[in-house]
Amino acid sequence: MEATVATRAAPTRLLVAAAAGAAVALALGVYGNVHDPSQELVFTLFFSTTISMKVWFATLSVAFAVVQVATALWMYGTLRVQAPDWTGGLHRISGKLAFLSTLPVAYHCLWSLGFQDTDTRVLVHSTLGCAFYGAFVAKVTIVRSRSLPGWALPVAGGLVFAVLVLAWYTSAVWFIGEQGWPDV
Amino acid sequence: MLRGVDRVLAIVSVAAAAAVVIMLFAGPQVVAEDKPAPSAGAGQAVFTENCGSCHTLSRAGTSGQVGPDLDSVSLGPEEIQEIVSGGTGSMPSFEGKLSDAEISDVAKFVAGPDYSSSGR
Repeated sequence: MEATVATRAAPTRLLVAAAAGAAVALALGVYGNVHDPSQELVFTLFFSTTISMKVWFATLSVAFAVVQVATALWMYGTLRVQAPDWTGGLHRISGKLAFLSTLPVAYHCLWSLGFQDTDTRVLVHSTLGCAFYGAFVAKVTIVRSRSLPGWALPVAGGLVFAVLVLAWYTSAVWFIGEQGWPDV
Repeated sequence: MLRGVDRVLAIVSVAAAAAVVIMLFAGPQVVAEDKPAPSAGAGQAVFTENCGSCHTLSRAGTSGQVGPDLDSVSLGPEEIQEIVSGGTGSMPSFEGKLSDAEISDVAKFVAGPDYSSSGR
């Protein structure tokens, strides 16, 4: 009986996670579209320019995300080496650091530039930027849900990672390819 | 040790995300109060909408850093019009995205009001 309830509840929980993610992605896209882009530089933190800050933070985020994926593979036994006790902690910490590293970048993108479609790359990047936070919210919702199918979390995590890497590729990697690594 | 760091980071992540959301809505109003009143002109509007995210131009109040700093570029309206229409380097062509009149307006705006009188 309990198993039946859990089985029935799983699709609902997955739908809730997907809906939450879609709502966040859509909300960011709408915000980027309707608000008047300031075109202003708000902060550079300790970097020389805003673009430098964005390239480095985005790259840092991907680096942390790689650590998170690697530790996830380790914990799931894919690396065929017993994962030590600290792997779970490192996995969670690297994920949070990856998320935190994206925030200054996303803030500047959304507030200063908005959702743009001046060319294919920019449109793809704008879409992926919004989709990243949607996928992130869906993944966090799945992490905090119980009785979900075993494939749900790896798929959600893989999706977040893929979207982040593509968003980084269509912005920071593109910029580095055009103008080289920016000074810190 | 790792658990403690993780807990702190969880709180920091939630607080930072909340701060970003608040700044997304509060930021534009705060900066708008400090902005100088924009000068009239269709070219400025076209520039701000389409070019400012990549180019710095103090007259437009933009500070994009992807493309060249237009405060330090001295080109005539015709050269600018050609670049805007055809694109150059990583800059895309705006032909088809902007009307001929908009391209002309923005070219005159970027060239600046002193262009014809100074004979640049």
